[in-house]
Amino acid sequence: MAPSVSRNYRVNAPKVLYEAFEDETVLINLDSGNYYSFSGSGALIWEWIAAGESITAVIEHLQERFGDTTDIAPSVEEFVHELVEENLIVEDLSGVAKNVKQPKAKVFTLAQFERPVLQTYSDMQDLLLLDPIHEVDEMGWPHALPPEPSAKPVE
Amino acid sequence: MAAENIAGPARYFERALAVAAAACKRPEATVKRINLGGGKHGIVHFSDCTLEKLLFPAVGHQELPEPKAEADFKILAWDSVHSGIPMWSPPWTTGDYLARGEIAGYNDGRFRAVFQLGSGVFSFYDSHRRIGLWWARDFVQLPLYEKAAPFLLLFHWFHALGGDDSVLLHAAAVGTEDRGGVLLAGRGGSGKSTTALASLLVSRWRYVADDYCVVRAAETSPTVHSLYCSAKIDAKMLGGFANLCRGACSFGGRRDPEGKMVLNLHGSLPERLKRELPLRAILLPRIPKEKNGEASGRRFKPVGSGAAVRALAPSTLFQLPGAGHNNFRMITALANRLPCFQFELDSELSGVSQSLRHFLEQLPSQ
Repeated sequence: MAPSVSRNYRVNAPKVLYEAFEDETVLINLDSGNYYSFSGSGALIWEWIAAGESITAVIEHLQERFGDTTDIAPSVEEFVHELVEENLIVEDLSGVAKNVKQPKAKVFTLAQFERPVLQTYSDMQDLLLLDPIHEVDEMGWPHALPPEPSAKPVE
Repeated sequence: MAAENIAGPARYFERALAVAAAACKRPEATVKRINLGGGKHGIVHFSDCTLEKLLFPAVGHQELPEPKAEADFKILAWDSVHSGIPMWSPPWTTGDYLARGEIAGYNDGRFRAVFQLGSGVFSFYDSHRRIGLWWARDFVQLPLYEKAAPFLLLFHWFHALGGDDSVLLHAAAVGTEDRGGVLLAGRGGSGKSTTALASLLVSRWRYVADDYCVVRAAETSPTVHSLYCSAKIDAKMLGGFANLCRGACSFGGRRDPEGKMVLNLHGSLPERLKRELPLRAILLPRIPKEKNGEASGRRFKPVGSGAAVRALAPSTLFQLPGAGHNNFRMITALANRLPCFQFELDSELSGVSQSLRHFLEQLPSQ
């Protein structure tokens, strides 16, 4: 489902962990095994979403800051769509008004708007693969893998 | 054993603890005490001396004499085949095993439970009482990696859930007595184990860890604590460390099926092991694509804290289940506190330790 600018989103906690650093924001999705980073305007957008701003408000903030350039709104929508697709944010249906604070992003020196890029790393996914359990012993415990074959003595 | 309602983490833990205690009270049972760092110590009960001889050597460099105070952490380890004491049947179904062996419904605010199919080891931890249970059906079937890094999950939960700002990391660490140490971060194959081993080729370098270590990140000066005295050498690297391997103690005394050898440094090179070092920097080793690349003086490139977190956090969090939030918080604190550098490895092993020495000497004092 494409994101709507009128919707509010929230960080998909506790499945998603994140931290903003000076040069980039790093996110980890504990469910999928993927981790992510973005910088520049992506970090700004993330901070505002995490602080409870609607997507409409995020676009307005960016337009105030960088001028009403035509690519801000579609870039934000595309970025939010990616965040939703990766389950990093979910729609906030609580209906509770947030006390939005000034985001703490350390990227306010950004001179001009740049299309946000979500860098995705999936090299850890194999650590989350389920080991299929085919058999259990008479007590109900899964069988471990067969013992290692006789190893060679060190030469 | 069955029929009785033993479902639920608290009930099942009590039943498992009772059989563990029975196994560890046998005449053949043994007890060992270990330094956990940060002024804490643990006690490990083994159901017999053969199991102790299999598992304890990897933490033997941290052995303590009889303690006066009560232990901060207790482990009871037994197997059923040799102790003759069976484990309770699991009250969960095969469908309850999740990724990494976590057991649905048995990991809550207090308890952690994981069955690792690869090793056949069941680890169960009560964070309130700081008691960990380690059980295998038959210790003869334990793989080499379990002997080289025993009780990994129990140590991980003890540190991550203990509230004392220590964290078990997937990282290597080396250093010198006078200059302190560096943490080497990166996923498998990044070169961190090679770098740790290369430090053994130069006499003044000290080895702390090649794969897992404990870091105290919240302290004014972060420190790294050695968890295991094992050092893995891949088959393809054995030639470079031939002198090191010759006559060295190793776990099992043999190579594993992939040709990998695991040295016991406490048995082979005890003077080269360092139990704890202050940390000066985080290095992200990288194997260069081309040989004979940049000069050694330019092998260290400053990177941001985010890069260090990307190297440290995912591989730690996804290998060690059950404490993602605490560990992430600690890792980000550590990365914010220490300078971080990408370290382009030399193609020659001797050059690696030489580059590290130049780096540590030039690093400004904190």
